[in-house]
Amino acid sequence: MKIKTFYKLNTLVKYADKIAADYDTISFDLFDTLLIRRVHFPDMLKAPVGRFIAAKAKAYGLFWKPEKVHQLRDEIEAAQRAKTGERFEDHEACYPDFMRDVLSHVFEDQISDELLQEVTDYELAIENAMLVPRTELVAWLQKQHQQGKTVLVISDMYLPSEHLKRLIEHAGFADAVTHVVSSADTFKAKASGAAFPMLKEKFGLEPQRWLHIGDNPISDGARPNEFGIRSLIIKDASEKTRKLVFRIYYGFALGSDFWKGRMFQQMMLPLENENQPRPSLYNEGYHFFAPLVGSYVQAIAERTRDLGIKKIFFMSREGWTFKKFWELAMPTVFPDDLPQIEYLYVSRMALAGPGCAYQGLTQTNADIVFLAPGNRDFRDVCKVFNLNLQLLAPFLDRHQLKYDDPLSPFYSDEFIKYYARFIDILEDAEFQTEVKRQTRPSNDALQLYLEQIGFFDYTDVALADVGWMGTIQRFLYDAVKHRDDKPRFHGFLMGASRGIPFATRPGNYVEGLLFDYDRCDFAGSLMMYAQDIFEEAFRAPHSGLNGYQQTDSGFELLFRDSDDDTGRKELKQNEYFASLKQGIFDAAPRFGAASAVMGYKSWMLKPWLNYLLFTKLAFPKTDEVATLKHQSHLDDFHGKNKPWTQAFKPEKQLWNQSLSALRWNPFLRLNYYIGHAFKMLRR
Amino acid sequence: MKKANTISYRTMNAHFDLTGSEVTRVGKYYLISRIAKIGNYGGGPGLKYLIIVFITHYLGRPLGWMLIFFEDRIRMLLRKKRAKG
Repeated sequence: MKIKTFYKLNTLVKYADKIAADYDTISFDLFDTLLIRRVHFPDMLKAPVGRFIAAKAKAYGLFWKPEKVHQLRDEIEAAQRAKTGERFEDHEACYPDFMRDVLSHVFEDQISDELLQEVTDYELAIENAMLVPRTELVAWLQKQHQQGKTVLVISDMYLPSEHLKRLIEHAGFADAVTHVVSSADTFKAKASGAAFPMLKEKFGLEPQRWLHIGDNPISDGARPNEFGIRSLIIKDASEKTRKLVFRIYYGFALGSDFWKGRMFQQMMLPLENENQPRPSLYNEGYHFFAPLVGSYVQAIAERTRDLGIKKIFFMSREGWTFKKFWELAMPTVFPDDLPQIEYLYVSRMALAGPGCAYQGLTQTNADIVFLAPGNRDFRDVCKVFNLNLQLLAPFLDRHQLKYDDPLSPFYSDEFIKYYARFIDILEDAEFQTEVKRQTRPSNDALQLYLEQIGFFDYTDVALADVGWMGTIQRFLYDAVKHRDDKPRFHGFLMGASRGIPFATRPGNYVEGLLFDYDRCDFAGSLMMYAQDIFEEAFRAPHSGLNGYQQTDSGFELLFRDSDDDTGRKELKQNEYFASLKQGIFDAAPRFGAASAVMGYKSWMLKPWLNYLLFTKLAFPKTDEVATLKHQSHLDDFHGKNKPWTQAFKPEKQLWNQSLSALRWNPFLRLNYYIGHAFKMLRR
Repeated sequence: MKKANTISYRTMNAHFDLTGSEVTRVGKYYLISRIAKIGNYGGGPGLKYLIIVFITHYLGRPLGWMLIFFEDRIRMLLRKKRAKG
């Protein structure tokens, strides 16, 4: 019987469907036939398991390098194969047997069944993350099962059939498979042909009514054919090309830092059924935002592990996306030990008031209000710090300041005169007493909230936020710094612009992980091109927090009303970016898997991330600006006054240019880029 | 606004490339970076690498076909070469 070879999967399926009526049993090879791997070389998946075992050994006080574990595994597996070869025709290995030997070597006498199970679970989790079912062939397999045929999955593999069943289950077609057979169970493989008579006997099959499909011309072609089984071979040219592309990137990544991130993204690509037509916003989320978020949360994981921090608070509202990404990706990257995570309901508006309850209103905190050009006078100070203007009026009178006198340089040449009076007010002890009195209830409610979520149970906590000046952390620290049980604050921002110097001290600091103005990182500073887009892209779908209020039963969180015009606009913006967020979350598990397989540290992706910032923010396509530019960006902190145009000239930004300028002015992007470079150098 | 959520593209395009961040874009970056390159880009893509990547993406399919068709012969040649030392 001639072995038929197909170069496209759909032609194989069509042909198999035509001849299927002649067969009662259909058997399939598993790897590279029913399931394909994202990577070109299966042994790449052994590396993360080596790292996992090394990390476990460290917990037992044993020092093993991951590479050494990997090497030991290869040696023990090879020895087992040689030993099997003495008794059987095939040189097969069985995972539980050789892995037990590996663990006995590494952990000396401390090996247990639980440990072997843990390692096996991780190995299978990595396999699952890297395996994708071939949609068309799996659909045909399911059809054959529905027609009542015996469907076998046969694999020459070190994983026993119980493990293969778990992989098939994860791929979603376990219910359509009658039997799963692995060479690891009997050491009789397809390669020698010994598997086929064994299966015939075991399941009572007729070779003349048996069709086998696989990718190996010998194991899946010649051997079954010799036994009278009809065989079809798939040599998928398209799949071969995909792997060739990956292999090229993999080779480049070994020698070039730039290509590491690109190879990483190639590994993250959706395959087969995962690769459906999606809106362009989804693809922006998948290809642009996801690697940035992934690298950021991985950097947080690395820093917290290094510093021994046991708790991370993702601060609302951007922290919602970071936390979700973390949950989807980080357990695969660091399966051994991760800090606990929690979402913290905070905002600048909600914390500004409680921050004054013990220290009063400081000049630095008041100055933060006037960084926003929409804030003009004392009313805006009261709005931000949630102060009652009427109760403070006597102090204004005492220092001859009217509530509408401009305190911001954007509104009058004479602002300095009024600002000096404002400073006098801040220095008035009675004024500060009144401020503390007014803000104390919200601070008390905040303390109750923080106590309820266990904020004070840790000596060190990490606080994660998108950026940019660390104001939320500043206000939060002000609100709790009077307590003896306050933890040390380790602030990890995605980008730190440091518009106002942060009062850094050992117990309270911020650090920008993708960009920090304090470090000379011009490429990272390109994040500053479009800060609002990051905020909109990562924002949680719930309303902003306005404050904390005490109730009879404790406290309540006061959220912003979403029924007004501003709330409706925010809702609309969230709906618009929903597919972008979906792209970020769909990419998260693949980021985790790619990171686990490659073992890259977050900083290793930095050159590629810088390239992404360069190409997407500094040199974007006009359509990308049209797509990504937010429809409305809302921030209650930023007042609604219109600054005096002579004093306030808003900085021109590339992303605020008209679409026609972006489309037709060939030097526009380069001009802005060079301008940005000079600005950074000047600063 | 409508456009961004309705027009659909596959996340991995027909050339096994990233939709919206294709290799041609790395080429564009390479050209711009010749004029104004500031920052840590890990040495950049390198012209030779860039050309190979471009060829692999855009001429990879015929290459894949050739590899498949001549796979056995290539393997045989490699085996002979190895045997000769």
